[in-house]
Amino acid sequence: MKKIIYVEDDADTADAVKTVLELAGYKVDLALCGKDGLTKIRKGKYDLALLDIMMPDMSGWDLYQKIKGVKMKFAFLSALPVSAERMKELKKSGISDYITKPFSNKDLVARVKGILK
Amino acid sequence: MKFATKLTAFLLVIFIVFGVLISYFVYISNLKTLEEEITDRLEEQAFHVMDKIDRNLYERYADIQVIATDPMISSRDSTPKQITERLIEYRNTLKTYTSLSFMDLGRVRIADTAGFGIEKQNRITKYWEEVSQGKISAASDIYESKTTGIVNIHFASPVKDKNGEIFGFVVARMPISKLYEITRKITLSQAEEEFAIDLVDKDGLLLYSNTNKKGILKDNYADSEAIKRSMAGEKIGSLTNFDPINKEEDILVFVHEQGYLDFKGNDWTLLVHVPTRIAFASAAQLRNRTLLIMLPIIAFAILVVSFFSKTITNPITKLSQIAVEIGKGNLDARVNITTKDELKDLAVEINNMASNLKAYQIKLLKVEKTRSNELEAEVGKKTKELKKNIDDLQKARTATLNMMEDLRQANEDLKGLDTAKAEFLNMVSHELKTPLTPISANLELLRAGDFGKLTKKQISRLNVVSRNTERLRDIIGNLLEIARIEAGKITLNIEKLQINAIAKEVAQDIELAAKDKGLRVSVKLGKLSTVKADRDRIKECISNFMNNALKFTMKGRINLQTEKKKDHIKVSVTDTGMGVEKDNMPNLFHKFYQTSKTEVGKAKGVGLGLYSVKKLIELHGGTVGVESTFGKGSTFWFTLPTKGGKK
Repeated sequence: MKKIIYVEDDADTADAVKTVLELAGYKVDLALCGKDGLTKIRKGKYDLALLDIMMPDMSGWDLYQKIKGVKMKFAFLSALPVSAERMKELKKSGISDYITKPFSNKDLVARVKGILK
Repeated sequence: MKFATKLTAFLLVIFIVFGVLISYFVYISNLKTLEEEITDRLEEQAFHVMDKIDRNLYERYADIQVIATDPMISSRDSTPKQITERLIEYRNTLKTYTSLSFMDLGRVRIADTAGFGIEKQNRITKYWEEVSQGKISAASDIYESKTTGIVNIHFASPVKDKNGEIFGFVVARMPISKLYEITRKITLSQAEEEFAIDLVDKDGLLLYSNTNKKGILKDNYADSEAIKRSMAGEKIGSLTNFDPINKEEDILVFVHEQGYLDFKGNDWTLLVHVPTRIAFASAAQLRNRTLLIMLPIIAFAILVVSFFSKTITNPITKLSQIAVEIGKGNLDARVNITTKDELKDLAVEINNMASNLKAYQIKLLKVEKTRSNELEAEVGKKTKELKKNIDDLQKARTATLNMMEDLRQANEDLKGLDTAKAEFLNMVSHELKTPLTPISANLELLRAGDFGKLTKKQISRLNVVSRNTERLRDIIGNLLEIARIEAGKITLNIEKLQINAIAKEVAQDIELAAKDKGLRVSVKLGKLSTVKADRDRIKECISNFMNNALKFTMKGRINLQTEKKKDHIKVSVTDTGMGVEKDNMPNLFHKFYQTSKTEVGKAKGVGLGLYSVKKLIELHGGTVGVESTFGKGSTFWFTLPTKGGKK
C-alpha cells in the first residue's frame, strides 16, 4: 500500500483529503503545520508528499526546499493560482504536480494515481 | 611708374615664358625626328655594308667558277703538278685566298697551293656532297682550320671534263677577317669609336665579330630578338637593347643577307651595336644647348614677375586692410602709399573719405548724447516693471513645483497601494477557496454513498447544496479573475494556437449537458491560420459564450463557428435562446450587469462572465460583440488579430 503524507494547516481540508484518498486505497498521514511535516517526512518513509503552500509557520515552498533531497514524489495542493510558466519551472525543480483548490474528489484521486504510477 | 606700364611689363614676361615653352615643345618634336633620322642612317649604312658583303661573296662565287672551268684544271690529262702551278697563279693574282686546292670525288686532295695534305682524304663537308653530285655550280661554307685555327669561308665548284662529267672539285679558302675592311665603313659623323659588328649565321652562331674574335663559331645568338626577327623574314630593322658588358643601352641594327645576282646568300645576319649615348650624341647636344638658352630667360622672367607683382599687390593689401579698419569704425586709420600709380590716388581718396566720416561722426555723437539720456530714464522705468513681473512668475513656478512634488508623492503612495492590492488578492483568493475545499470534498463523499445509502429526499437536498457550492466556486473564480485583470496582475501565456482545436474541445465538453437539456450542438470550422494567444484564457472565453448559450436556451440548437477574416479570426456562438432586448445590448459586457429577472428565468449569475471575456479579449488585442433578436436568439462573438497581436 502506497504511503502519502499530507501537510495542511486547515484541519477540515486535511480530514476531507485524507478520507477521499484512503477510500481510494492509500495510507495517509497528516501533518498540521510545516514543522510537523518536516519531522514526519524525515522520519517516515513515504511515497508522496502533498504540500499546502500558504501555512502560518512555513510556506510549502520553503518546506520543499528542506526536504527535496528525500527520495519520494512531491506535489502542491493550493488555492493559489499558478501560471503555465511557473508550472514549467516547478516541474523542472522536481515537483510532480500542482493541484488547485477546490478540486473534485475524482480529479484528486486521478491526479494522485498519475503521480504514483 | 604707372600701373599701366607695370601691366605691360607683366604681359611681356608672360609672352616670353610662353615663347620659351613653345620653343621647348618644338625642340622635343625635333628631337624625336632627329633620333629617327639617326636610326635610319644607321640602318642605311648597315644595309650598305651587308650589300658590300653580298657583293664580295658573289665575286668569290664567280672566282671559283672561273677556276673550275680553267682548261688546265678541267683536263683529265693534267698532272697534279700542272694543276698546282695553275692554282698558285690564281692565288697570286686574286690575292684574296689563303689557299686553293683540287680534290677528286673521293675528297682526296690532288693539288694544293700550300702543298699541304696531298694524297690525303679530306673531311666530309656540306658542300662536297652538293658539288660532287653537280647539284649546284658553286657553294660556300664556313670552317675553322684545324691547323691554323683561322675561320675560313670555303668556296667550292665542281670540275667537269670535256664531256661535262664531274671528276673533281676545286676549293678556295678565304679568311673571314677579309670582311673586316668592309664593316669598318659604318660610322657616324661625330663618333670616332668603332662599333661592335657581328656576323651571325642562320642558327645564331657568331661567324665573325670585330670585337670578340675568340667567340667565333661558339657564341650563340639564337635567342637574340634581332636574330629571331631577322629569321622571321625582316630584312632590316633596329631595336634598343641593354648591353650587359658595357652596361649601357645600345641601338642594335640588324640586316639580313640579301644575296647578289645568282648568289642566293647564306642566310647571314649582320648585327651592329651602337651605344645609344653615341648614336644620339647630337640629339643630346641640341637639348643641352636649348636648356642653356632657356634657363636664364626663365630665371629673368621669374625675377621680373616677382618684382612687379609685389609693387602691385603690396599697396592693394594695404588699401584693403585700411578699408577693413575703417569699416570696423576706426575712422583714424590712414593709408600710406609711396608708389606713384593709380593706387596712390585711390589711397588719398580713401584717407579723405575717412576724415569726412570722422567729422560727421563727431556731429552725430553730440545729438545722440542728449537722446540717450532720455532713453536711459525710460529704460530704467521699464526694467523695474519687468523685475516685478519676473518675481511674480518665480513665485508661481515654486508653487507649481510644490504641487508636482505632492503629485509625485501621491503617485508613489498609489504604487504602494498597487502592491498591497496584489497581496490582498492572493490572500482573499486563498481565504475564499480554503473553506470551499472541504465543503465540496465532503459533499461529494456523502453523495457518492461512501458513508451509507441516502434517501431520495436527502439526495435532493444535497444536490441543492452541491449546485450552490459550485455556483459559489464559479463566482469566486470570476471575481478573482476580474480583480486580477483590473489590478494588472494578469500575464498572458502567449503561444501559437489552433483555435479550431480549442473550439472542438469546448463543444465536446458541453455536449453532454446540452443533450440533457435536449439541445443540439453544431460546430462549423473555417480554415484558420495559427494565432498567438493564451490557450487557457481563450478556452475560458469560448466556454463562457457556450455556457451562457446553454443557460439561456430552452430548445433548439447552439452553433459554434470560426471564420478567417482579412487580419483577424472571428469566433462566434449562436443560439436559439431568448435573445436580448435592444436597450440592454450595450450593457451586456459591463461589470456586474445582470439581465432582468424576466429574461433570466431560472438562470442565475453575478454578471461577471461577459465582462471578463471582454477584458481578456481586449488584452489579446481583439474585440467582442453581440447581435441579437429578442425572443429568437443571439450571436456572441470575439475576434483575435492574426498579425501583430498583443504579447
